[in-house]
Amino acid sequence: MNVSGLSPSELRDRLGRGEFRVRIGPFVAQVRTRLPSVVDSFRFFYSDYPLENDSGIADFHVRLAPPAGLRRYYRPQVLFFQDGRSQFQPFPQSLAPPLFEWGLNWCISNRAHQYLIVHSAVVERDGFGLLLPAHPGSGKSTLTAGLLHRGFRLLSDEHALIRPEDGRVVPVPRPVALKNESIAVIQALGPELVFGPTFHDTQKGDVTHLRVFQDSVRRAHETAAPLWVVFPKFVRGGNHRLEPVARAAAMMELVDNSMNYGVLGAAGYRALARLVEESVCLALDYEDLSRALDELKHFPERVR
Amino acid sequence: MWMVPKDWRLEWRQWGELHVVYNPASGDTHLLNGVSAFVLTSLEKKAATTDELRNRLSKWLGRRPDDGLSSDIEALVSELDELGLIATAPS
Repeated sequence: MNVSGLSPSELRDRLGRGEFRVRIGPFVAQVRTRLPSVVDSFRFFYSDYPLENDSGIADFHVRLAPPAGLRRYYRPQVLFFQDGRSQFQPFPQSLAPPLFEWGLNWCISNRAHQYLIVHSAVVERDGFGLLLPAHPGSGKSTLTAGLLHRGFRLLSDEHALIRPEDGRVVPVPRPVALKNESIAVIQALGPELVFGPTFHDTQKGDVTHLRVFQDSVRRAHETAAPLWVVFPKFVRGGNHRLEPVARAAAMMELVDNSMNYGVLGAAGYRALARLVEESVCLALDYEDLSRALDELKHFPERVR
Repeated sequence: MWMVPKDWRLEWRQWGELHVVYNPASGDTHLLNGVSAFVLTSLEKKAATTDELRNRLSKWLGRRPDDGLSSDIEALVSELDELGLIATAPS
């Protein structure tokens, strides 16, 4: 049964009692909260995700709750707990829904060491993966949303989960975070893209999330063979270019973008080396989203 | 005398003229050009003084072992040492 199979009151009750377990790609998250904004957000973003059995093992135990004491009445705040421990400074309670997403990002980055994790979006077509590794502000999520609009399947907007044993990328499809100017750019693409509310004045500026297409959630068990690694860079007023990157340079860039390379040691090195050897590595400088998407439409053909 | 300890087990990849080496002893990954890679692999095979390294390199490059090459080797060895890719060999 999917989350949508629960009535609003059942969803609220299960989340309130901490008896809500949802499968998100390879992970099971047990979530507990009584905050109505998070309950509503779950209903909106996660309705297509499968519920998991209460007796199974959860990878992440997550709770969102206000701090204790009178502070809950004055400028209410929210804390993100993982395994019972608060992981961040309190956020304004109005930001509880995006805090769940940021917190889950933190859980995956810091716990899922069975994978080599690269800070990268991944989309798929014809069984092949296109990776977009980038630091924040590079236009990664904007490109990802544009590619989804053009029919690619979402594996992740944030984490490329690479299996060290065979190099395949494991999907963990979750809402795509868009920020500031990119929100209007992506919202203008068409009504088939569905967005949650926009949160203003976060540490990242204005933030909204794009809901994942049902097909990406339904196929979250289908891994992909990476074929292109594209390093995107949004360059205001700069020259557009899509050019090959030397494999050695790509390797060092991927090391820099990996979240747990140091944890995996030699296995991480071998996984990245394999990724570089089996992929076409490209640098994409862009300002015009439409032009960038036109260039990437040739995927999954090899370009050299 | 410089060496790469046997138990470090450096892992190498070469793509074109560039090399990427992983050092399990430090957990660091390094991008090396051809000359640096030659010197490091040479020390992996057999420990050497900087003079011996200069001779090995001059032979590999096909040029005479002059003063310029000596100072370049000194600088390179110093850099490899700072990166933790080589160690002093017991005399």
